[in-house]
Amino acid sequence: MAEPLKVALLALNVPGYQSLALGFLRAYAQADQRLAGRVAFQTLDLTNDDDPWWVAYRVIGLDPDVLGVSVHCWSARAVFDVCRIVKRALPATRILLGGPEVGPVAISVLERHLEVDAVVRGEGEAAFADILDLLRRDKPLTRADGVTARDAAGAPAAAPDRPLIADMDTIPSPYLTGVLDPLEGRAYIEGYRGCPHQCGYCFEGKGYGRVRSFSLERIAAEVAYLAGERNVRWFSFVDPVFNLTNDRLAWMSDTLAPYAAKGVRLHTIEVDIERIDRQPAALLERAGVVSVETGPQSIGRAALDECRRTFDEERFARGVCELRKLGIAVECDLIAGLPHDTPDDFLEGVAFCLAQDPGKIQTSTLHVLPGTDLFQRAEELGLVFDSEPPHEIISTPDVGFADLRRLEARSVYIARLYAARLEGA
Amino acid sequence: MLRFAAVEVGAGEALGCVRCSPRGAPAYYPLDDIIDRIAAASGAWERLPGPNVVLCGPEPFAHPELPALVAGCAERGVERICIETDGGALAVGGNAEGALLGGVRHLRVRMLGAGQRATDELSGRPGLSQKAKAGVRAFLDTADARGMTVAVTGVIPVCRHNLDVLPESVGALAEWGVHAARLVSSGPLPESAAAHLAAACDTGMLNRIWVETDGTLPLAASHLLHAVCEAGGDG
Repeated sequence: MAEPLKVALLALNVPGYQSLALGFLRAYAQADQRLAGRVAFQTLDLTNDDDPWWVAYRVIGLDPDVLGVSVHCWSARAVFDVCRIVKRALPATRILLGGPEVGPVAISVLERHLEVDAVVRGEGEAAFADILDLLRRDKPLTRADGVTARDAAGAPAAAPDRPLIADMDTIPSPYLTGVLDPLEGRAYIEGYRGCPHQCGYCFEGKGYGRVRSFSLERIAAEVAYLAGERNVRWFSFVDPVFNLTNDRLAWMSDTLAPYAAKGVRLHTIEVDIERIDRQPAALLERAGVVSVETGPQSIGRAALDECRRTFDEERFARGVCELRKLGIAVECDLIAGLPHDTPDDFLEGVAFCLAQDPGKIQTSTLHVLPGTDLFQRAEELGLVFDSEPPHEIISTPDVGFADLRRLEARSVYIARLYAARLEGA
Repeated sequence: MLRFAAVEVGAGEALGCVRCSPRGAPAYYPLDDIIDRIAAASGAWERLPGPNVVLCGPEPFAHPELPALVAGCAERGVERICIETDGGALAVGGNAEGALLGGVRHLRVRMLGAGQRATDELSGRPGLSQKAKAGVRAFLDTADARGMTVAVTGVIPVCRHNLDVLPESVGALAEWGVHAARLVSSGPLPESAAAHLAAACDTGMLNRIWVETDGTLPLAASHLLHAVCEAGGDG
């Protein structure tokens, strides 16, 4: 291909968010010496309520040689629409997808979407840089480990898996490299990848299996840059468990406290609430945390067991209580439609959360996401779900279609009744 | 699940079907008496979340000291203040804004059915349905403009006179923008009631508002999740 290779990176985010994934991909590729001076990037951080035809208009206007798209369950339908239109308008543009919605089902995506040329499975930075290097040298994409692409006959072919990046600091910071600008005074930081838990419905750990952390110095540098030079006052960490260990939490608290004293606040970080007593709660307050998100997802014993989750009612209640005493709002999440949960189980979960007076209750129906244990075992468990993203549950052996919709409507109403209150009462 | 303590602002009845029973003139209680009841309800509150109070009985907006009542709730630590109303007064002047600024975040708007046939005729108050619709919109729009989270529940007292218009009544509430409809028993019903109630619940689901019944109304087994039996619960 002619150089420089024109690469458009696209994400259709939930409104108000920007794609950290695209930032990492671009920062990593820009630092790759093989690509230096040979690739030109444009990032389109758009939203999933943008009309696909308008998004395609933006992409086509760039006339890219390569379109790389980060795909999540909330954006997949629109992404496939965009890709189809772009491919028809620009047949020579190579379309690469990555992200949790497509990586675990790469072959299926290529079989169903002829406009897609390749899918990156799992961690994307190194694989994406390799793909760009192969493209500029007109080599087959199947030479890149961790990629499923089309062979000469157009059939999907999977290259071997790619080892995970061992040293996370080899991935440049999208913020410190200037690739990503904080959006409206807000910034999201990734401290580590992987998840210590293996919940059956969740793909936050992305199948990485083990936790790999950026160095504490790197995290401190990002915080200092964003809170200092960029005057960011609203942070969140995308880590699956912010209080991963007590030592790490203490370090985070030490690092963030000076900024918290100047008004920097952390919002909606995910915590393992059953490990929070007085001391961790104080550390979170000192770090400037104003709101956290947590389970229990369900309080039904059979569902918890099936999803490999633990739930200790007393410890959960203690965690909420300690945080609320310090003015930290807790968002309790519940899922309707987990295997073995009955309508009563779900409603008892809502009642339990209400009784904790956490600050916010968020309910949703189960989404059977590719890559999760429930996705792989759906037939065995009798989970009927929409094969199209976002893969919402249709029925379970314990709850039929109509009752799932009723539980959803009732719980959304209850959550509103709870949220409507006199501030500061 | 989410309970409210009912504090009546006077002797007399809320909006109901005049064909079932004629409404007499209300007699409102003195401010101090009602404040004492609010304080008692708030002080005795044990179960989180709360305390939550609904001002009910004869139309609260006709109480001459409603602003002081609402302020009294807030001063006594009531976290969720609800007013059960026919909705008409909310369309008048700055009532919607005044209620919100005073701390009201919940409304229960009683309506007897869709349009003139039901609410206007059955209440004996021509024009009430249009005023109520305008009042609800004023409350919701003002809350939205001020970034306040509110919950508005339409309450339909179900009797044999409005049974056949229940589905379209729920549809009308959805059009008003309420967040849920609560169907409460208000007199004996014919055997066909279960079918009308199920249709009303389904209409709510199709129009994306939750519909619940008070647990005493007949419901088909297929619709039992719509029955909320706990007294004072949810809506």
